[in-house]
Amino acid sequence: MVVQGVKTVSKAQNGLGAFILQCKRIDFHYCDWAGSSRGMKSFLTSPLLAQFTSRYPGVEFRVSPRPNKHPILKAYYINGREKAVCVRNLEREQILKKADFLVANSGKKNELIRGKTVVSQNENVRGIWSPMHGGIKSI
Amino acid sequence: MPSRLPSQASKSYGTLRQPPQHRSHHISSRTLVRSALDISARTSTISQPPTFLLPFRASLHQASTQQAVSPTSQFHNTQPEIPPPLLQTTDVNALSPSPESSESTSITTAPSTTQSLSQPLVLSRSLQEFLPKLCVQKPHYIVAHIHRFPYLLTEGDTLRLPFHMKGVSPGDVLRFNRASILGSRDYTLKAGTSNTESYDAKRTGEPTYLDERLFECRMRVVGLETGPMMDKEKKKRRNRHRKIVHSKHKYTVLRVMQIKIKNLEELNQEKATLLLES
Repeated sequence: MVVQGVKTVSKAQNGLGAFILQCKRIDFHYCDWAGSSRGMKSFLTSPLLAQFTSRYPGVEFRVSPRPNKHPILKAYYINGREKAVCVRNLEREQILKKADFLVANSGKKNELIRGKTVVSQNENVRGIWSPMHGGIKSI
Repeated sequence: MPSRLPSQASKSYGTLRQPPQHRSHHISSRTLVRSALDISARTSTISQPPTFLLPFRASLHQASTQQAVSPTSQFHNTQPEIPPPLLQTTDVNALSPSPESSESTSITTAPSTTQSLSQPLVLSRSLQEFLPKLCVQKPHYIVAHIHRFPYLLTEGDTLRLPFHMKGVSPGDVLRFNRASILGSRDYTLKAGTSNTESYDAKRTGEPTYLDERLFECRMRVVGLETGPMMDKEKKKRRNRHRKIVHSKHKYTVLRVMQIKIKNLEELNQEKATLLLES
């Protein structure tokens, strides 16, 4: 009988040591003609854009026209998913809030989680209670 | 993290006004930067209120290993919404059935958390005896409180707060300074139970906390998540009108970086904060 090693799978714990931002790219799309991208164009020409992009040096930002369409923000994440937010008729501060959210997001699907605020991969610190061990009372 | 410093410096209002009173029980590294800016501004300006009128601030005590990282950094000591009661007993109960632990001496009176940083940290004899054992036994857990709600955390856990914490961005490091229980497998350090009756019955009182100099709990802001869009139909009887209410909430996600219980040597190295009963 050969002793076999226990297979362990490395678990992803982003932020425990190093922290990697999950968003890798954000596209800003606007239209020169349509009025719905008025706020988007003012955002792109304002110093808000430079302030926002300078806070995240690890993220790629692209600005490109998208004619005859509403303006959108499109974020690409490390897990391969992408999220797009339509920002038609929004002011530039609102667009900044949307961009802040997209950068901070993890790229996963929005799931309804009830009650599970703490998710742990560790074993229980105090162990599991057993009726066979300890605390046995004599009747 | 260092890339956000110029954007902080560009906020001109941050340097001019008084530091904001954070009511929540966390200290972000952003407020750290802001406090650093405040200090530099305050030394330069002459129109400065006297010291006793300034908002209460004190430095959180870092361990000796991390003092070199931020020697001049000062944290805002956050005021709790309800000041915790003065009496705070600290029990150390060993779970092993040894006769000395069965006494479960709970004589120690650590001062309350708000005034604790000005008052010396008092350790009872039982705490002096059991605190090294608690420190050595390595996997620790902590029951940390945010806005009075308890969260049982171990190192590496993901905490999804039930609210959107404002003023933090991903990558920030927070330090939680409110905790009611520290523990390992065999040892538990609990805050006193002076107020727990009202806390348990109606959930209105402030729970008692441990002294924040005893431990370090660091959290990293991982990101911001949302739930799905929820639709709720509002309809009254005998009325054809119906309204649909949409809601989509945001939640801040944190990860526990470090849970560290300071041992007696580290507590001794803090200047004039320790007073040992013998």
